[in-house]
Amino acid sequence: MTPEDSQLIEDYLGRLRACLRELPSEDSREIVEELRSHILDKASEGGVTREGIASVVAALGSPKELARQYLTDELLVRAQKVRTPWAVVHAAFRWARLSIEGVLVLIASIIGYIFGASFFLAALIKPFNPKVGLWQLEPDSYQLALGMTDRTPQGHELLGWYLIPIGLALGGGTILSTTHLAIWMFRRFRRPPADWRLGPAR
Amino acid sequence: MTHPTIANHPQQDPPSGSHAEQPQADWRQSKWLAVAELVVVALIFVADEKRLIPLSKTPFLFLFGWISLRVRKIGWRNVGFKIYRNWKTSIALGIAAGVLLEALELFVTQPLLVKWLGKQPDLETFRALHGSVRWTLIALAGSWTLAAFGEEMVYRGYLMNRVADLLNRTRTAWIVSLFAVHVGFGLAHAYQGITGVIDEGLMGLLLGIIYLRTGRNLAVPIIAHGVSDSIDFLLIFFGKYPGM
Repeated sequence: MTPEDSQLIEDYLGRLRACLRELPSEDSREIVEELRSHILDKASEGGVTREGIASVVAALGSPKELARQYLTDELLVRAQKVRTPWAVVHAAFRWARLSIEGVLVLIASIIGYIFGASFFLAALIKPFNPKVGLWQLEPDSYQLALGMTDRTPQGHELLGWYLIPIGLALGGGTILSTTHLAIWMFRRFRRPPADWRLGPAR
Repeated sequence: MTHPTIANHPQQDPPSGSHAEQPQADWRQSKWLAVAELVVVALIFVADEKRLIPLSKTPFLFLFGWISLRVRKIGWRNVGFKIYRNWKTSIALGIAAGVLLEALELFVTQPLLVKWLGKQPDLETFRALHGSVRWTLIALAGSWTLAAFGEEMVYRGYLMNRVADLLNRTRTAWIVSLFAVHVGFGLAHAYQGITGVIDEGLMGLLLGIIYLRTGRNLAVPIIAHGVSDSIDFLLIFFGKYPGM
């Protein structure tokens, strides 16, 4: 490999490093080193040539775009470690900006967390405000409303004080299962950015 | 007279030969053409509002979009009418997206909008479906043709691309186009009242995001739209749609 070939790779990696400033320097260094070996590995498939290196670098896309994928990947990895709803939603939001899988996980997480939090909060508020409940708004209607309603003359409360154990179990269970499902989706569909662009390293 | 031309158009690479040397002269890529088309689209919306258009404006918009594509020598394929990765992936993602959009609508957006606005979406048009196999089958056929296929081709395939053309198809252009087109998509559901307009605008916005995130592919939003509408109609048929 000529010095010009090395320079081509170093220029690209330098620009990538600058875009990865948000990350701890150790993580950023690790990403850059891994990518360097990935580029060399791919470029050497047909013997190291200037054209080979240039085409591998071109396939990686702009350093800014690639950095965005690495930053998202870091969030996905972090969410798998800390497993909190906030980390899951934050990672899913960033992932949704990159792929359809991310969009679907984000929508599923929003539904799961809002549904779960509504029941959980209703159960917590119930001892302080007995009007809170699961209301059937009109007789013979399937329309249910969780919370308080001013349509009590026609409405009918379904759970009474059972809202507390049911709300805590259903709400907590939904929040936990949403987190588990999102993490499973992260594991199932997440691919390291360089693999996504270039195919897995040999 | 020179025309401002549309740059960065991935489906409209500059033609070779003498045209490539004079790209400004190609009226087909002129922004003025895009502006004129959007004016016609606006007129179709106005005509529909004044009840001058029979049944639905979607077939008219579809036909107009098709003419626009033909005039510019591109096809529906160029705006994303092709399978996404493979059939299995397109169908699986489409069904998953449709079920999730419907769940989001029924469990989150619609209850919140009804709470804030104090009004259910006005779905009187669809009341005849309750308990009627015949009308439900007709509605299901309509939901997969006019709504899923027609609206996706028109709003995501044609209009989003045309608005993005005006702003040079940059990242910002697509974001502006996403919001601008879906204000129109929401207003196209004016017969459902204010709750329906906001709810449908939001669903359209999400379908638009799916279109962009699949690399501007229409297969997934078409299937998602069809699945979501089909669930709506089946719920109405069984009398279990909220507020009906």
